[in-house]
Amino acid sequence: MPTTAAPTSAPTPTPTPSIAAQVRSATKVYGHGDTAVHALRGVDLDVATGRFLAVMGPSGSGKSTLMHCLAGLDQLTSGEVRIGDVELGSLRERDLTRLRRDRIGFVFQAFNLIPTLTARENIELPSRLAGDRPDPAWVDAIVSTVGLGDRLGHRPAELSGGQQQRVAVARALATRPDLVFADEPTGNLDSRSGTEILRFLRTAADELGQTVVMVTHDPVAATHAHEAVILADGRIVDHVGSPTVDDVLARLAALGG
Amino acid sequence: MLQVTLANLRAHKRRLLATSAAVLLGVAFLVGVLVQTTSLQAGFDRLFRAESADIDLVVRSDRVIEADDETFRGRVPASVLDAVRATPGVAAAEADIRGTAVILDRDGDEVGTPGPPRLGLTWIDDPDLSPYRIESGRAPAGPDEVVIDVASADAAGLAIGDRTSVLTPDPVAVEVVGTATFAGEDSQGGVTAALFSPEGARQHLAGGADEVDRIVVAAEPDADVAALERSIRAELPEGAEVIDRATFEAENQDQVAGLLNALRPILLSFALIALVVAAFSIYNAFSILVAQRTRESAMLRALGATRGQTLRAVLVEALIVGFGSAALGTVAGLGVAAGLRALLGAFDLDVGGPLQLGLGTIVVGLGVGTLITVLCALGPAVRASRTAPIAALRDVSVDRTGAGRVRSGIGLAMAALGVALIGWGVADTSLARSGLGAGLAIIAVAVLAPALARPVGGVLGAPLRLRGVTGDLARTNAVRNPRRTAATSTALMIGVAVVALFTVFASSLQAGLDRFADESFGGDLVVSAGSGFGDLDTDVAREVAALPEVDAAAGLGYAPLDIGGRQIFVSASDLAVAGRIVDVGMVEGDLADVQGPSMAVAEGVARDEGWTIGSTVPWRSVAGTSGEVVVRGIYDNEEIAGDALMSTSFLEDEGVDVRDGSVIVDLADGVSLDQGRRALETALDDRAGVVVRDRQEYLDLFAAQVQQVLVLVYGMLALSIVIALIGIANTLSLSTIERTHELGLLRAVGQSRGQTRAMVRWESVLIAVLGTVLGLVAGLGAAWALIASAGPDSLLVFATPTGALAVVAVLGGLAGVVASLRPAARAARLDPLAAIAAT
Repeated sequence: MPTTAAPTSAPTPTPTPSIAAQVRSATKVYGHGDTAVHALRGVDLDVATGRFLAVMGPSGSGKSTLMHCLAGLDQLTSGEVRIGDVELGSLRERDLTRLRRDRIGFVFQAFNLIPTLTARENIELPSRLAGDRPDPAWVDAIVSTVGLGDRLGHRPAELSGGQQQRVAVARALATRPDLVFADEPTGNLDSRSGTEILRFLRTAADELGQTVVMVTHDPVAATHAHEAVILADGRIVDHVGSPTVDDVLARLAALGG
Repeated sequence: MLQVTLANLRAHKRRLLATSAAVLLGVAFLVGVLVQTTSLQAGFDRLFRAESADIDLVVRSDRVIEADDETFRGRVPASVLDAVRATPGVAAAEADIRGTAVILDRDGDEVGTPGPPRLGLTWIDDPDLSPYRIESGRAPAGPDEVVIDVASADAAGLAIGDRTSVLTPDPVAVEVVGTATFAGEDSQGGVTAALFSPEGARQHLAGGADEVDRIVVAAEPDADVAALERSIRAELPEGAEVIDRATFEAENQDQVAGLLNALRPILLSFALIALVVAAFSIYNAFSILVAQRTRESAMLRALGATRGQTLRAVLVEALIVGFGSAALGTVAGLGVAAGLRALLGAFDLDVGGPLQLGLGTIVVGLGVGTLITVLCALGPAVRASRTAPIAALRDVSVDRTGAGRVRSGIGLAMAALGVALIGWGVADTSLARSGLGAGLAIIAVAVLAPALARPVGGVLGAPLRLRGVTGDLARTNAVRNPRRTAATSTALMIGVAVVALFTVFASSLQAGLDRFADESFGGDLVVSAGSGFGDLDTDVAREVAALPEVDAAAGLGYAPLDIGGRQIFVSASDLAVAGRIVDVGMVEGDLADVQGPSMAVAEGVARDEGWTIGSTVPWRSVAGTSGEVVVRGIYDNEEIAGDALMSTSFLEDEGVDVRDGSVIVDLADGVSLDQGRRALETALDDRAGVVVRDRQEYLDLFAAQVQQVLVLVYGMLALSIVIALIGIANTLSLSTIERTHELGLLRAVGQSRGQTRAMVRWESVLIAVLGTVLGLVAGLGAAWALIASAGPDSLLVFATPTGALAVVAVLGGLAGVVASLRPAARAARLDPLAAIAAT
């Protein structure tokens, strides 16, 4: 059953909750004929502004495909994706690039940073690609939030995995994007560093009003989100508000049955 | 292991493409040079064998003077012909009178170039005794009729019945009555031929004397040629000799051997440059490929492959790529040979005939190509074999080799030694020493390049800051792997250094000529042959000197002479006048005193021979005359005056044939340049092919020659530059593949395709500019060292052609843009998702 993730009773920092991103009847088919793979089979989803949403599901469930299409990295076979009031299907490559640069932030599982740039340069990269100078006060605020103060002049090779990932989060937040997408952001980290990253993402939502969509298969990671949607076989099959580990495990186990 | 190697080759076909292109082009050039020189040799051999026709014996003078590698031979009395004909066993004998003869076309311009000889010959009807056959028209009968070779007729647009002039060097008005082929070809490899009747040749080529240059003899079919040679020898007067066909052919071929022996090393050194440039590209490609495969090598090692096996895997790969590319290069060499033929053809160095691809050439091409590839892969292969098995578990696919202290130390030591040698060479004008030093310094720059890449790249890349973050990324990418950047740009550096060297040499020669003209050459006008390189009759100087508008005129002539056993070109002039127009730098004596049986000699010659003022020196000429001259002057300006100076009128009185290269004219006071020029042109109106020029126009003639040679050099270097560019493109492509994740990330966080392209493009431009700048510095330095150590007396004055070098620098940058086109397009096409997912 398609369900929406629109908040009903959860406390929100904004008085009138609005929709940051919206997916309607999304399907995605790779290949065709006998070898066609249906990654998404009609997904509807609303991502409310200022919320931290976890997208979960077993591998092959279509969660990464959903995120890539939401982020303008991949295109739907049919259906609609909107970021704010912009429908992505109508955009040309150049406009998609601009959208990613200006309105979306990314945190990947690995390979998040450009090795030749320092931490600060990496954080400022999207703004500078746009030809802007990022707001220094804002960057300072983010940097102190993620706790990188004294590491800014270092290159990625001189940072630990956790520090690298914090730089990636700072970069994702630096342009005040409409949406931050995080793809298994803790996948390569030990549990302590992973927990830190998840706390930052939650803090960003709670204190800065940042909308965050995170794809993960880790139930512990999902507990940091305001809510979680569970995908299976290309469809949203469940929706959990304020998820706990037990909740999530139970629902995932139900799928296996 | 072989299976792994072959699988690698299949998997990385694209990556190896550029490597094999570098090998292919290098080998193609080498094979092209070998094929072309072999073909030239074969062509010349064929032409000179043909020149011997069915001649059995040649009778000629035994008086010879060899000045500057040119052989001058006297003539024998025409009456010898009757004696030869009367010898039993002689089937036929004909006299051949030979001389220079420049054919003028319909517009009065010279046909042919100063390259191959421009000959006046005697028409010989007997097909056994001459390779020339009538193609159209008829043989010359009257003294003012000529047959010319088909190639000259085509070039000049002359048809049968046309009247024109032939300069012998006196202009002879002739009617073209026929055209002739040489051994079935349009000309003897670019030699222009004007064939006169025996009487015409006597009048115009022998100056009316009853003398002939050679008598060609055919023996009776059953005659014993050796016996006939002996009986003819018995009949010959003093001063004549007879040689057999083999000697005649060998002498003719020796003339060309000299030319080819000079040409071959020049061409081969350009091929060597191309191969060195290719070597850098190959080395680079293998370094990157090996680095990218570190994980795979480590896994193989973890699975139990020995170091030797890992090493061999890479070497076998190199062997296959090298051999395959060398084979293709050998085939492509035929195309290069055709190109070289066209290039050399512009200098009339083309004798036609098929291209000769010998077995030796194939073996050399295949061997050199394979060997270079394997040698270049050796270093990277050793590195691959040193991969620790544990590396398989780490993400270390990126080649992060740095500059290395040992290498920098060696480079600095070489640079210091090179500079010291140059300093020493300049101090005691030793060209060999500073040449060695300059070579060492250039290699030092190549060795130091990795250490230089970061600082120099940083400075050169500073303007990229203006391009924002894209420029920053390009700059840091370009210097993130100094050794790779260095090897890439070094390939271009070598090509550019040689370009710069020759460009500076050309401009320095130009500056030297200008200085030479300023210091030594006081005339207002110069009279010379149209091309500037022909001869003038000495009467021209006399006619010009007699004009009222002219204050003084001196012919600058030459004659081959044996002076005290030294066979040289003696400079000849009216020395009473010449001293007022040209400055020969008298050290002792007075030039005006060098009249009659006397001479002035260069300081160096006087020292060598122990001659002083008043010394008496014997001389003899090819004409058979001889005597003694007294040394009356010593001078130091050898550039203008040569080894020795004698009076033209004295030499002519002694029967020596003097030819003037030019006549330098000083106008009388109050006569403007235009007035003077008009007066000269009117006076010389009846002398076809003679041109009056002012100083600058005359100097420009030489400048044009220098430029023409420079174009040839540029043509030869073009291939090296192309190989260097392929190397840059290859390195960029491989780097792009290596940085797939990074490029994907950049695209994901909002780098536009245009920005990605620009980033790769600027990186490429920076690498290219780095190579260009290092090359310009190295080339300029080497040129300075060589010119400075040539000493103050040389004709070279160090001059930097700023404009030309700026053009080279700009072209270097543009080359970077061109090299980046494909890699940049590929980087921009990358799908960000796939790029991030790629491992």
